[in-house]
Amino acid sequence: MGSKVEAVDVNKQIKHMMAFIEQEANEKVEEIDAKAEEEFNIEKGRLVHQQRIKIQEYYDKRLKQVNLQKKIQNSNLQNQARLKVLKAREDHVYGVVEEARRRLGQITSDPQRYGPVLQALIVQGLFQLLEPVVTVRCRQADLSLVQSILDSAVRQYKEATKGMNVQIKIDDTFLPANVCGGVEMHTKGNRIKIVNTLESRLDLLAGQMLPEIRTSLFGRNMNRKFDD
Amino acid sequence: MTRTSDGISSLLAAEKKAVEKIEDAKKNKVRRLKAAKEQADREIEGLQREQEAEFRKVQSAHSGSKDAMVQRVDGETEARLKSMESDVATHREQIIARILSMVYEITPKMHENARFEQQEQPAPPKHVQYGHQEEEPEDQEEDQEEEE
Repeated sequence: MGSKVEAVDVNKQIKHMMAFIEQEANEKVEEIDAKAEEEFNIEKGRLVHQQRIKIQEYYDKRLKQVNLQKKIQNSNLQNQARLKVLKAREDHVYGVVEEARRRLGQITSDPQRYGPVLQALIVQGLFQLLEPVVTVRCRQADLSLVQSILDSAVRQYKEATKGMNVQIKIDDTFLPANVCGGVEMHTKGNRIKIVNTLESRLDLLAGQMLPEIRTSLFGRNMNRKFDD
Repeated sequence: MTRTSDGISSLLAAEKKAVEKIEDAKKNKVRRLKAAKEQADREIEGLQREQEAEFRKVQSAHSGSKDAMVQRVDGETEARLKSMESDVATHREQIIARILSMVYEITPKMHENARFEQQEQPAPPKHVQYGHQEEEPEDQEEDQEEEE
């Protein structure tokens, strides 16, 4: 039953209230939406940033490894190359000594030169032994040559020792044929023995001459500081 | 009466609608958060793939350069070995001759501390003899005279 005016009024009021409710709701929704976006961005950014750092660290590490490996490989290569060169050098040096060893026997075919060598070898032995009786062992092929120089050898010995005598015997056992030359001498029933073969001389000399051999073949080593 | 209840039900409906709207917004917020994670994951995946590709590039560049380096070092080594061979060939004969001459040149020297007194002796005994060496020199001299 109310008046027309009241009805319109009420409607208006209701409409206002409805609009108010709707507006409130819209504002709230806007607020929530805005917050949602903000949190969306923050969360996404945080996660991405976090993982990006991890990824970066991971690949940095791997890159370092790769570089390190490269350096190691490089160093190994250089090392191997140097060793190869050094080995070749040593091979050349010993090759030279071996060749000398092969040619050792050459002198034995020339009695003019070999005779004095034999004599000197024997005298050297006598000087070392300083014994009254000495046995000389030579190669069978050298027998006559040795016999021919014994007198001079003894003379040399006598002079150097102011008159000491020595009796030299030639052993009936000879040096084996694979010996290039030279003599062995012993005394007191084989208790003292001197090996003065050409081979033994070469061995001694080659060992002492290695630096000289290297310098002759390759030139002076500019990196070397001490030469004694 | 109907008008008032109309009004009230309209308001109630509006209220209900408002509440639903807000609920939707809240649900949306939850969905957005979830989406953030998913998008982040995808972006991260992309980053990872990028970096991996970069890394692979560097790696293959490295192995390429390794071969180049091996070749270079080998080349240098060969050159050094060759020059060594020619050095050796030039000086070899000379040094071999020197070694041999040192072997053949012998200067017997007495020990520097050895001292001798001048001996007076008869002529030295003949020394060439075959046979085994005896222990005593005196015996030998006897044998010697027998042999002679």
